[in-house]
Amino acid sequence: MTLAKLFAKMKLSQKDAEVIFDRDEPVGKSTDLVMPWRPLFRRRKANASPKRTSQTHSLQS
Amino acid sequence: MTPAEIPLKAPSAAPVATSATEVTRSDVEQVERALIDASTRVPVLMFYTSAVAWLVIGTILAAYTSFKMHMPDLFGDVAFLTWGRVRPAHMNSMIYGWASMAGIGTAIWLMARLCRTTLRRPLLLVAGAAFWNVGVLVGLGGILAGHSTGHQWLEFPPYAAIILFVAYTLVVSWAVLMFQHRREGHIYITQWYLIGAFLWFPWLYGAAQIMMWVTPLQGVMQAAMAWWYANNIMFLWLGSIALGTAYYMIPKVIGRPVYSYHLAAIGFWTYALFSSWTGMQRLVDGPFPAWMVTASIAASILTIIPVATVGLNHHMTMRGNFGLMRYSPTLRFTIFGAIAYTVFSALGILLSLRSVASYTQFTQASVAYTHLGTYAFFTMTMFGAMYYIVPRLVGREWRNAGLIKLHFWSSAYGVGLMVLMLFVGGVMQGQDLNNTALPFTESTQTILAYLRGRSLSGMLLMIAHLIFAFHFGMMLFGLGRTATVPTFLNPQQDEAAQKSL
Repeated sequence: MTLAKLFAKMKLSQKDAEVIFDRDEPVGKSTDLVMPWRPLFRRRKANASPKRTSQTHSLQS
Repeated sequence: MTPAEIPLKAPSAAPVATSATEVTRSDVEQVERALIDASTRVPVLMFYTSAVAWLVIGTILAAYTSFKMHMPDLFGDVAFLTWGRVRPAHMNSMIYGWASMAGIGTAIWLMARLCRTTLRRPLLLVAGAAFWNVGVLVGLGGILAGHSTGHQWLEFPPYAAIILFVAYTLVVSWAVLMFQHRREGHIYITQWYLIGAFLWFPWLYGAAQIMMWVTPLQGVMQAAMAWWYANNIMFLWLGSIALGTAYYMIPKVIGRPVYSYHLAAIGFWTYALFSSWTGMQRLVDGPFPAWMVTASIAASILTIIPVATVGLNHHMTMRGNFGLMRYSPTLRFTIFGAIAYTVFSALGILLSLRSVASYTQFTQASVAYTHLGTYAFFTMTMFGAMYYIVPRLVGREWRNAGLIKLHFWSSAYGVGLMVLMLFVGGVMQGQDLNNTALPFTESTQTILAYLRGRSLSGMLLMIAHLIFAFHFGMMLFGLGRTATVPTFLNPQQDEAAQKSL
């Protein structure tokens, strides 16, 4: 391998950071969100927000 | 938790094939990934099962060691249960049994995924795991029988080290084969760390074994060699695997690429350059040439560069997504590990300074530092990886979110309390040891309360490990929760399984 080739390989692109993603797990989609969240101290009903588990689950369309 | 509480939907939003002959690229990728995961199943689960077994054994030995510190008469007349034998047995079962096996298991899976190729020669790995277990078993037996070498993390008698080396050769042969046959052209940053770890371990272990037992160094240089090895097995072997794992898990779970890939590359090379010089700073004020200790102190201080780059990169990648830690066990453990890496390195720099070392050298503060690295950083990251990988191998989801949370909080509070107790107690002990007017026995009285606190924290860790072992065992025996998404994308999943949810 020539030095020029070596340096060319060393020029990393930010695009390379995306090699771990694919069509099923693309950039922008979270995975592994498998735990429902239950706060220790529930808010009062008047202030209660909708159930968060389903809202934040990124694979929910 | 009932399965119905977990919101799940179809594996992919990608177009679905409308006929038997129409196959999308997405379908092919799904099948490929399922095949890759399936090919790693046996060896990775073998490494993981062995690791969990050693974790439980090591924890029991740790609890006994901890109690012996403030109850020295406990089984005092049984030779193999004396503190001088059980403590190295605990440390070696954790480093070579738990940490190394969990690390290799994780590395196998990550390499297969990142090389995008099915596992070749899985029997090499199975044989490697079997030999490694034999090596650790023989080594622990040797230590308990009184054949310890007396050097930290090198206590295994040479006959056990040979078995470990044979096992490692099998594992590394596989890694080279896998890397040669990779289908993905680009080498992701995680692979750099893993390949680095695979090369550094034989260098460290081989150099230490040769220079300690084959052509032994003379006098105090043995201590220098031993500390160089002990420090670097933490940084270059375990640390590399953990950092590589974090660079995969964090972006993957939150669905966002690493903030700066250039920064990641800088972090890797500076980590490799500076970490390998560290170790001798643990010998401040010892009978060594001053330049040796100073070089290691300088290298320790310079590790601030990889620490800053890695920390900044992880933080910026996570920015705006910290809330996801509530829902992902992998993210919780991995982020805890990543933060612990920063704290561990910062404490390492602090403890390497001569002015600080004069207080903390040869005290429990050094033990606190080791636990911060091996447990809070490495072990927590490995737990995170296992929570991600195991469901993809066994085709089931973790059974109970409550158990995962209990595991996390017991581990987090356990290691937090342990590090706090040992560090504060170590500084107090150091102050007493520096006070020439005070008898040595007074310093042991000072630290007694902190050692009891350490035993308490050890109980929390034991609870955490037993919960994890139980949960892992359930997964292994197919008692996990049936689910199709989102933790694994197995196209062969029965649709009925999802309907049952």
